[in-house]
Amino acid sequence: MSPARSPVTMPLTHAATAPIALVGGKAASLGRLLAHGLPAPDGLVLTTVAYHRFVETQGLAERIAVELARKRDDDYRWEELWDAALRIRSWFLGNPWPEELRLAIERSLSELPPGAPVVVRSSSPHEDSKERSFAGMHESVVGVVGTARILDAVRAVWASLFSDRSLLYRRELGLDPVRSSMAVIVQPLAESDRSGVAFTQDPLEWGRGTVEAVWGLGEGLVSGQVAPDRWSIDRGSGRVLSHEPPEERAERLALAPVGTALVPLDHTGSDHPPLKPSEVADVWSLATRAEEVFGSPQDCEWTYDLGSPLLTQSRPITTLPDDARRAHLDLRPSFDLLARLGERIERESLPAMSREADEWGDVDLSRMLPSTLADEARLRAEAVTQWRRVYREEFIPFAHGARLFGRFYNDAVRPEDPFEFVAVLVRDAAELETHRVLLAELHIEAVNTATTAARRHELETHYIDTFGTEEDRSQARRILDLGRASWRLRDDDNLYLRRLENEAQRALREIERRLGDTANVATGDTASGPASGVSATEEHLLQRAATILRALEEDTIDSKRPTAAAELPPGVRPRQLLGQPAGPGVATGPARVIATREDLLALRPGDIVVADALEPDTAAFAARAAGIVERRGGMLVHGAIVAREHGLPCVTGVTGATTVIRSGELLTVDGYLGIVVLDDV
Amino acid sequence: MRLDELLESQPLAVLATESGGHPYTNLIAFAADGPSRVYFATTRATRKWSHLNANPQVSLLVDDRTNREIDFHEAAAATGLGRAEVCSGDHRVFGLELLRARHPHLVDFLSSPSTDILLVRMTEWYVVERFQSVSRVNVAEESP
Repeated sequence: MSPARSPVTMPLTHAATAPIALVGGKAASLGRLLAHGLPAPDGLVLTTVAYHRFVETQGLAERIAVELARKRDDDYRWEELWDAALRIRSWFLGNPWPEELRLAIERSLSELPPGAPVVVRSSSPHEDSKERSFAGMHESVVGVVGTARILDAVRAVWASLFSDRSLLYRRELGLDPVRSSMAVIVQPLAESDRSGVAFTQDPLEWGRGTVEAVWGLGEGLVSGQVAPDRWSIDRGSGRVLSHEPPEERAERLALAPVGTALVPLDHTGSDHPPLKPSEVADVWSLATRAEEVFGSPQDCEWTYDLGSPLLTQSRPITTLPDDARRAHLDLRPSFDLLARLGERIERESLPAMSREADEWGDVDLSRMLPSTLADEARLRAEAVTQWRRVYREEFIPFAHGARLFGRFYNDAVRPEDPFEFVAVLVRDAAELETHRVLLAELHIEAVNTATTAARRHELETHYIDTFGTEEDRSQARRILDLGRASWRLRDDDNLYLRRLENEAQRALREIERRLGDTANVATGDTASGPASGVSATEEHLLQRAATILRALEEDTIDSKRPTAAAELPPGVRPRQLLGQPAGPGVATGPARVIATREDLLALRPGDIVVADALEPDTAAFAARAAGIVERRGGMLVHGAIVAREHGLPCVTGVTGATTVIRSGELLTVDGYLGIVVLDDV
Repeated sequence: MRLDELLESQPLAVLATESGGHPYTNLIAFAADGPSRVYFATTRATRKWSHLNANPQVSLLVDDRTNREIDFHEAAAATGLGRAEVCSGDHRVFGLELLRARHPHLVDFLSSPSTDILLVRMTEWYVVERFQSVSRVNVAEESP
């Protein structure tokens, strides 16, 4: 079928016989279900021809290809892919519709019931074969009303071909995202009070199938936000073998003014499984009919619509382990989970860390008995290890809060610069005061700052004003609050940790002093301090404690080992290095490569800081520079945070920055385009 | 005329600048407003920008070769001489729009504050076709 004659849209029922390359796997299987008379919501397919027409407009396809070719694949950190994904998404949303395409889609949309909410879902030609599944990988937009919003949702679903998780997953599968395409399904939204999935063959147990159900929208289950009731079913007889309720039924996913939200269940909901026994049987029978249609075990999604079950999707059960996809799905942040995480961090973890650091600071280690000192040291080592775990498992994921806000802001405001939202997140005077106090506790004097308050206020007002109803506005404010908490924590959290680490180090220094004294006693040299009279047993205890503390020092949160750029042949030097634009502006000055704290102290105004990974405490010094270059990439690395808050040109994600650039070399940092020029080369 | 066709169809040109008596060539994305005005863009931190700043005399090469043997009878090439200037005000807006229309995927590069839009005012072109058929085309405009 030649693309020129292929339709831009078609009814879902026609998708049954259309090529997968045109309608995608999901639409083709829904079409087949409908053609076989199974209950499924009818709707509309926007074919891959529509996608291609759109990305060929205004050079969007090539613009994306260039963006994704900035560095070798392996040189991208996940954070940078996320930033690239955000840029690409805003290009999709901002790219104009070719008139003819828009009219064709609007004509087809007019055949759907007017004013009814729809769901807009991806149907990629590469999705859902027996070998691999893209389930949950691409975006679905649930509960969209009105042509304009549906057209926006279509662009958002297309853009999800280039989401961070989709880019990572495709890379792992060896698929080129630039050559991918996507069809889109638009269906009337079922009035789902109960939804779930059904596997006609349990991947782990032969001869058994599974039905899972939750209250509310099925997206709650598929995204992992709501735990399901699970029934194990005998394939032969269709008999229920066991029913396993979740630990608790507390919430359901429901339509919200914008998108979806978790809503607490009432008593009826929390006390009863979503399905009655007869309904489990009805769902199972639908799923087995789907298996008959396709001739292989199926992974179905279903929902109850006005009292009877509908199939909303059916795909072959993936036969291969699917760890990669699951791992990438975990990258999806949800507002509710993040909000809870933020609350726990700010109300519990941070105060507890401060308290602990204060207590440790009050201890006079020099007066402790050797055995008490050894105990204290081990206690501190254990606590630091514990807090580092909390840091990795809670603080780092909480950075998603800033990202979640960024996407939400871009959807609402449609700014020209996809990173404009950062100016709304940057800390105000009060928040920076907290930061200053934290720095002061580490004996670091913060540079005076922040002329960014006026812009922050202006953008915030504009953002809130884009929402019509008070309900929407208050949701917008909640998401902003989450973003801000995430942003300030990103810079403050390792200061809290650093205080504890410093206290552990203080114990190590004290132990070393005692052991040093012992050595002195042994050699008869008593001039260097009071003999402490450490016995052999005590010395052994102290030695062991010291070993533990030293191991702690070596294993820090952020790996400080610079990643080298690919080895260059003799005679070759880079002239321009590519990274990510992370702070607008251009600056030229001598490079100051930061390897040690002394390098930072030697920093002169007008220097360009070149660092592998700036830490919040070192970042405070970097604010004195004329520009910042950091090897780590991403909008939330500390170099980028400092640059945004102090208005410095900044490029991050420069592979091998500290190994390629030498101190004293003249550099130009182009923070608009993400380029570092070695001017003398 | 082959010249107009080349300027309309080709996205890229070779730009020759000079520094210290040495020629220096680059590939540039260009957009022509007739044969006497050629626009391109560069960031200010590039070698070509500093060369142009010191000596604005340039040569351009626009051609439709495919890098195969048939180029000898099929391809055409135009070598032009001109003088480059950094655009400001309305000129900049006009040049930027022209370049954006021709190279929409370069929008970020073109609209970056670190990028200059340059206009090369051409005086003459030498058009080569059918391997060795050469004509000179005078395109110089009256001085503004």
